[in-house]
Amino acid sequence: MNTKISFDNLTPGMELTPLVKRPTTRQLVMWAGASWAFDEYHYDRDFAVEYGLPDIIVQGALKAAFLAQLLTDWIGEAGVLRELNCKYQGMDFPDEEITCRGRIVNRQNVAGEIVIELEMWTENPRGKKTTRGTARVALY
Amino acid sequence: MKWEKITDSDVLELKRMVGKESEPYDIEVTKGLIRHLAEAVGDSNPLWRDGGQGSKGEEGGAVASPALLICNLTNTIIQGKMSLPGKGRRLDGWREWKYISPIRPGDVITVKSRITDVYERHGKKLGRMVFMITETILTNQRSEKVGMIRGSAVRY
Repeated sequence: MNTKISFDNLTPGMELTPLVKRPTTRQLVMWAGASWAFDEYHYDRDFAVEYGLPDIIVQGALKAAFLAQLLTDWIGEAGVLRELNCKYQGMDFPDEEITCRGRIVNRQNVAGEIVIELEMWTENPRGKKTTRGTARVALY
Repeated sequence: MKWEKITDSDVLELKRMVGKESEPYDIEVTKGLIRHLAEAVGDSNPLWRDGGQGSKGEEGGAVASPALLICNLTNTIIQGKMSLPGKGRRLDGWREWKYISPIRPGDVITVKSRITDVYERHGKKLGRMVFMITETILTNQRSEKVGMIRGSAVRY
């Protein structure tokens, strides 16, 4: 975790150090329980197949929470996450790596704060972007 | 078949729901809830446990991680406070979360949503799809707006 970020380097094009996750079915069940994600296709393989999916799939919200973690790990106590949005574009499966990435697209000074806008995405092991979105963080 | 293709009457019923507001409900935010969410994400940031020094003169102590707004505790459809008619399959399309002020243990967050739009699309793989757009507002026990969520629920 990076608690001190150098504001000088925060220019468009800069990429955050990726956060790599590899959720197990155990983690999907932990998320299901903590977050009320009880749809069976996140933990019951037979159900997932009957539903028309290739396998159990990782919850979209868990991937969004991974992207949020990438941002809060990065900003530490130097600022806050103001906004995150994402589109669930593809499926991820348990025991496969999900690489969470972010890239700065804009930097502005707004009312004494530095507001950074980022492009955010998750990537599966085949390089496909399965979640895409944007975020806004404010640095004090 | 447990799941049926959406019908014209499902679509009409959904379209009639535009403007409808959900029955409000409360989330009692506890240290345990915050910890369980962070553990499920695999997020060991101390801010979600004991808080940091606190920035900008804010009081210290634990705050809820962004996962609290992202998770289904704030989803009025999943929480049964708003119905999604039809017997079709369901998925989440996109979501937008706005974090307005920190949420801390002991806070009671009131969740209320409104359906802002319903529209149809045709998907290459999934065929006929109906999108229901909702806007959810979260307020705390002091009636301060702490967050906002917009997103689409899809029936296909």
